[in-house]
Amino acid sequence: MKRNSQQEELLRVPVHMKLHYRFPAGAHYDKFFEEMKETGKIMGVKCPECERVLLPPRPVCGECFVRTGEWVQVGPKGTVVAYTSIYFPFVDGTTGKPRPIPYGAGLIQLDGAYSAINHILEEGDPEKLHIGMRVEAVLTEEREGNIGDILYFKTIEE
Amino acid sequence: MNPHVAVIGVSQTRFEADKGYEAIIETVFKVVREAMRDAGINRDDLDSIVTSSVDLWDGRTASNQMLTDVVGSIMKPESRVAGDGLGAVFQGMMAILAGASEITLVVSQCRGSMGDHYEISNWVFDPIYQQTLGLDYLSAGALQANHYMKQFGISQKECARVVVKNLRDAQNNPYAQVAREATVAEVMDSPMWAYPIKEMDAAPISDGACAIILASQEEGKALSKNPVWILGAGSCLDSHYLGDRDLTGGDALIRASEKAYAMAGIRDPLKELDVAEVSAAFSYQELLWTELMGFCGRGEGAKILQEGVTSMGGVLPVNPSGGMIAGNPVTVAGLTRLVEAVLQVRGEGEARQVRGARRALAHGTTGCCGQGQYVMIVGN
Amino acid sequence: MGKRAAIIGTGQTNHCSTREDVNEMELVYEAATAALKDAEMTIKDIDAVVLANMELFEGRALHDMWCGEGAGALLKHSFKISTGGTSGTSGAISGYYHVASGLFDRVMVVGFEKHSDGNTSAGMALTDPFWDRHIAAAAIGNFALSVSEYMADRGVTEEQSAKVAVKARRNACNNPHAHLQMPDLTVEEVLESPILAYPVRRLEMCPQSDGACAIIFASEEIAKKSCARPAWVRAAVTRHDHIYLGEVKNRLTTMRSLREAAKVAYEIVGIREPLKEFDVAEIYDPLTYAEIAWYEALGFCKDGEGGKLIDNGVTHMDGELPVNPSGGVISTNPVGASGTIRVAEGALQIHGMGGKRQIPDVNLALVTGYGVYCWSDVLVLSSKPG
Repeated sequence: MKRNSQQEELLRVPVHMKLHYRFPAGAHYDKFFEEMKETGKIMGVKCPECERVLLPPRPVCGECFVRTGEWVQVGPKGTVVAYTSIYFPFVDGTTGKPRPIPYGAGLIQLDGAYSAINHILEEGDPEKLHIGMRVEAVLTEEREGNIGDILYFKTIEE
Repeated sequence: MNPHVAVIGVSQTRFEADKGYEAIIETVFKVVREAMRDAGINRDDLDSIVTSSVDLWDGRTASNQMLTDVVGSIMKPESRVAGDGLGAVFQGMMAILAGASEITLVVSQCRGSMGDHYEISNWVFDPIYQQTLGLDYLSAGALQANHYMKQFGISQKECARVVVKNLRDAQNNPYAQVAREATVAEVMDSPMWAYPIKEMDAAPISDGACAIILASQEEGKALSKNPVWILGAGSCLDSHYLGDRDLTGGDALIRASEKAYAMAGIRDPLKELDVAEVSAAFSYQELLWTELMGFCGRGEGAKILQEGVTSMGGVLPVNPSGGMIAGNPVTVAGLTRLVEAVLQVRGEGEARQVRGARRALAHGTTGCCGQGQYVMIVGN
Repeated sequence: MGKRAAIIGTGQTNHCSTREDVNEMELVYEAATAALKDAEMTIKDIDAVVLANMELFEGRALHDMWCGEGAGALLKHSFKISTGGTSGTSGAISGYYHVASGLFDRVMVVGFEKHSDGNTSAGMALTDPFWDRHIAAAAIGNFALSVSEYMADRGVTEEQSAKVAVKARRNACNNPHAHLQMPDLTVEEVLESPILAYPVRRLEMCPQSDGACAIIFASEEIAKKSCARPAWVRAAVTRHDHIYLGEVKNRLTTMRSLREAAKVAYEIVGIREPLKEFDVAEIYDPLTYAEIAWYEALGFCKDGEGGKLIDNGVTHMDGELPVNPSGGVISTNPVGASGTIRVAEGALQIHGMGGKRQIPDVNLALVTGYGVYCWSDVLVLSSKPG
């Protein structure tokens, strides 16, 4: 078998991918982002059976296979349950461009929520990050109704 | 095939041009719950789940992940066939026959409204030769159409009759996206997209989902008073390069249907089948596929349509639902054909019921110009 | 009950970062022909072909339309299985179903990926467009988050993680197909490699490889006739779990999908002490820390003792249960093929055809697949039909 054994350069065909999508958000995301845009509140939904408050909000609790119920305000404060600092330029899936490095990222369990959510941490130094640290969501001034309305989570002292 | 696999529950959404009013998971949850209700089971009864979807049409990676909550697959086996929903039924059927599952949910969903269907279909073609030529499902379909029509002397008007029949019959189908009385002249006057395919010759772009529940022979008998059985199943893949394939020869569909007939003990499909639901993305394909599946001789598809053989009330009605001309979410189409076939055999086809239907054929395709072909025969 | 089925042939390409000399269909063809040769068959003998790969990594739709022909699927029953990183093992399980259902007698499964054709990191980033796409740090970022929980919970050390990397890359030297072969790699070098996402370092992660792997399943009658030591499929189990990382607490630590799949598979075969009863394991280790966590999830040791197994050399080539003699996913990772490679390597050990990486007298092999925390596959292969 050959393994890059050919000396001459073989043809490579460049194909550029440009596809456009319009994702349907559905009623739950729609309400979540509308609420965040208008009031700055972070809302989860509660499963009537297991009573977990789920983020992202969604129509069905997968554990119980029943429709989720009431909306519950969660956060904006929360606890870091997992953390990292990213040193590798990852592509931001919404812009297609790499994000500046390094940056902190965490799983944050917002007060009142069951699910922990992925987000950016203000603190990027791994020496200053630890599990159990308290953080608070920092929102943008001009909110557009998307997850980017939460800029990052800042470290707080309590 | 012995033992047999049963279809004990079916459900479909209404096909629409844009279901932007609800999330994909909402649509899928509804069809899954309805299929379970139809089968008289709940989530805990499910042993395994097979989904069918394609990442590029969904615009996200490993796109079946998004369905986890709504197909009830938490801590259960889930697998995805990245292709037509009827292919996913093969996977579900084999899991049952292998003894790995007693009750299996098969789900397919697609949102044609999210992206550009024909642009995405360009990414199905090999990147070195055919993709860079700009081929897509439409232009490739037009090549096949011309080849077929030239070979057998079929006119555009004869193809247009397929559209007229299907749009008319779709009026009996509450799930249809497009349904109305149309004329051959209207089809002929619709804008030319890729000669000889005109706008009305092509299936619409659709949003929708479909679900079925399969069961082992034992569970099928235990759970259902009138289970519908999969009597035969065949599938086959043809060449990718259009120039390698006899575009009208249809080797893959001939083999797939012959295998399904052999398993079901069918010698003369025209006589022994009561109804057929066929996946034709363009009008000419319904004529071509009916020939290749042996409903008539080669080149006679238009003739038997003209004679009313494949119309409602004919010897073998084809697409009482309106077929893909009535609604065409990618990957969902083949599973929809099976749902319709099952409803016919159950006698639950309502206004589109073929009287006394006992044996029905469901057909699905994947890739361009029917590269991948699936045929299933169901009966009671 | 289904019919018995066994693996009677396997074939792999050489895996490396860029296979400039072939296109993707040719890559598939290379693996398929190697498996046919191994099974002493021609493509005419094959009844059905299952393909397995990711889809967006090369930016293609319905990959099997083009590449199917390379696997000899022309005019045969064929479809493609795609379940993230488990695609290769899920494809193998589907191939097993094909034979066990009684519908087919000889089935080929080909897993493949040609990462160099596309942009894997962009493909990985295409997650939920509303929720985590803008912050996605792909697999590595999510792993790093889980590792921070795992380290805090179980006290696994960076040195133990580095030892897994050293074991894998050294084992890979015995595998002519492996991508990263590093005979002289040391723990120090691993710990000095750049951090990608704290605390995960470059040499602790899997690479991206171009490669394909094919396996041939056969019915009992054919397997007994045509293979000296068929690798019988004794169990094939999948479990699926939540998509959102934070939905399950301490995900790497608990890994309930893998635990449950293993529990069910062990019950089917009647395995009580996996560490003693298995002769070899080929497990899907996307990064070093995961391998240690999987030791615990698979019941090789008590929870919290995974690190000790690597410290004591229990999973080394000469240990009680050698894990990944092939070098594992950490050494070779064409994603859609990575699971298929695990199955092939497990079968190869039972066939006794492992060459320099052969473990003596293998009768029972464990194989696992992992797909973005959403899927776990567990297969048990045996020299005895059961």
